[in-house]
Amino acid sequence: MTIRRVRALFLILAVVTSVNLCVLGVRWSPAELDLAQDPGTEETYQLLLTNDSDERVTLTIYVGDWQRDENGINDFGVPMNGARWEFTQAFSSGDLVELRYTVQLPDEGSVDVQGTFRSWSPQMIESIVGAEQISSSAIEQPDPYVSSLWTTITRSVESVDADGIASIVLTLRVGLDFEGLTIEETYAQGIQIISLDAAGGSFDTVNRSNADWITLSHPQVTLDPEESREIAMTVATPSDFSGSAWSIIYAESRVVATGDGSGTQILTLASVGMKVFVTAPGTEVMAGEVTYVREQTTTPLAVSAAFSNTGNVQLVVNSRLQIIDQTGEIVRDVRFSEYGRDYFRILPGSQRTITIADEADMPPLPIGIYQAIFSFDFGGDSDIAGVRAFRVK
Amino acid sequence: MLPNRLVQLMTWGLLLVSLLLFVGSVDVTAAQLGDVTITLETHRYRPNKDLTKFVYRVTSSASPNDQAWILKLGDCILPEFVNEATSPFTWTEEPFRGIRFVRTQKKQRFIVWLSGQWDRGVVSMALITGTAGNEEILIGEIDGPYCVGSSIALEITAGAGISFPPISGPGLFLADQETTLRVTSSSSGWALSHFLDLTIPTGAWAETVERIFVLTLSPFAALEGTADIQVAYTLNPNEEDFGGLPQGDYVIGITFVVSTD
Repeated sequence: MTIRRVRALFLILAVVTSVNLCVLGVRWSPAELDLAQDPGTEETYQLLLTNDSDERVTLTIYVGDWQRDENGINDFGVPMNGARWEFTQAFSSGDLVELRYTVQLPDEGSVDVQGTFRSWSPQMIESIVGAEQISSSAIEQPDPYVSSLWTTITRSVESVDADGIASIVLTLRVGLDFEGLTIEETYAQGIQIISLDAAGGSFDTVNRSNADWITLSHPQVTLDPEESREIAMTVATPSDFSGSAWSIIYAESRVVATGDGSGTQILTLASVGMKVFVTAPGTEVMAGEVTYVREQTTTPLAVSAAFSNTGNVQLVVNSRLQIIDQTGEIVRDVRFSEYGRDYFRILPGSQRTITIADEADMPPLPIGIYQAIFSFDFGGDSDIAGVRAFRVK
Repeated sequence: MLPNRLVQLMTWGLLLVSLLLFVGSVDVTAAQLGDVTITLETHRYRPNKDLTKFVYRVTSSASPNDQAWILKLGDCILPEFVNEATSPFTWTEEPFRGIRFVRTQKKQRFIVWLSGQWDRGVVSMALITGTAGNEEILIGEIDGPYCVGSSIALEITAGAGISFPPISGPGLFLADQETTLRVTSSSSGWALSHFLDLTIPTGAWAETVERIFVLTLSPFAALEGTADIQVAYTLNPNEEDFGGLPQGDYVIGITFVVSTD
């Protein structure tokens, strides 16, 4: 690095001031809502929002989508009424990549969409161009490739079938080299989005979202210290839904820094999310299957299993691993546990991977052949189990 | 050395205090209203159904003659939470908001199923005897579904706004203080996450800022109750990173999000 650059950077970041911010605190009551509501009905519920801090605070209230990943970690980054693709690989100048997905058009036959994409390194953020209203009249072929220094993504409607399912193509044309890419499509209303070809990237959407059904009485409230305010949440369910749909309502503090704001600073915000599940009574299907069981290591013993929720409601699942030796003796009998609980929750259409491993002070299994039985109790008529034989050498 | 008599007195005193403390915190599993005894027999959460079950036994020596028994439910228990498997009931607002059961037998069990996980605590109950226009209302207390358990909160108790020291070249730079988060939750298994919102000068690379910025959470257990979590921040630029960091003010906005799992 040159001395000049070091000096420049020193000047950039040398002026640092303190920033005065109040203590922030937000509380939702109840913590979560599990509502039973018939299709085609409208109900209003009261939620209680409290400012736990000792300062007046303005809270922004909004609805979002969320899901859990395969490890049970909450993912709040899925765009509401939208989809997200992520790529970790490098892209080179001249690359052409096509992604395909479908959307179920609403009864009126068209729906508006907007999209953005962001490369990770170097970073650029751009809008997706092309068709912004998806309908049968928007069908056109993607533009022929033209070499350019600009990286673009173009959206085109490939077809719309008799059932109103539109096939969409996103065409990525790479100008300059970059690494890592996130693409987001956001529709004007809740809509079913299905990936046909993610071109090697990951694809995420919440097809059982109820975010679009929810109307809140206040988009923003200002609360005095320790003040509580009732927020009315109206849920209008569609006439054709079954099982459960979900979303999250955030109450997020907005604070203003009172320092002179120069230098490199961190400003924190507090946001509390209330998850909202809406279930159509009498339509619940509780079903699950064990996708696989496999031993990760035999010494020390660690066995993984994947459980899929194939029903239409969230399942609360107890799990247990038994290891049986050749004589039929149970040599391990361990129940799954995390966060002090002996169960995990899994959303419909999701898969959860869990691993149960020996404690550090457990003696290793002797040499021999064993069976691992991973059983899951999800509230169905009977437990389901996956079995795997393995050898300890 | 203390005299034996004094030791005996102190021992009895301690026992008495312990007994009083115990009585003060004991669950009200049975209560008497007139000649009617109400007993909470079972309080159990069924995780795989996500339902909480309360079973009450109501007994009397005399025939009940359609006497009504009312269990108060707090405002946090929405009508939708009362599962259809609950013993036949009607909602009532008198003498308080709750569910009303009709007694038809001297010994009878009433089962309340609620969606979700509910703690038990002391709640009001009532017994209505007599005929219409000549009713007598007896009010007492029993353990039942308790409202206090359903909330989740996040506080930033320290370090809401933080500055970095001047950065003079490659290396590791610690922020001048840490952030303290306090999560208070009625149930275990809550989730804490965060996302960044950068305000950076024109020409700066957000990817570079995201890469050199490291946020570290102190270990915590997502259990019921209150947890304090320390958040430390560092900037760790190397020589090549400076190309993406032109002159200007950099603000790293961090939104911490907490919710049930």
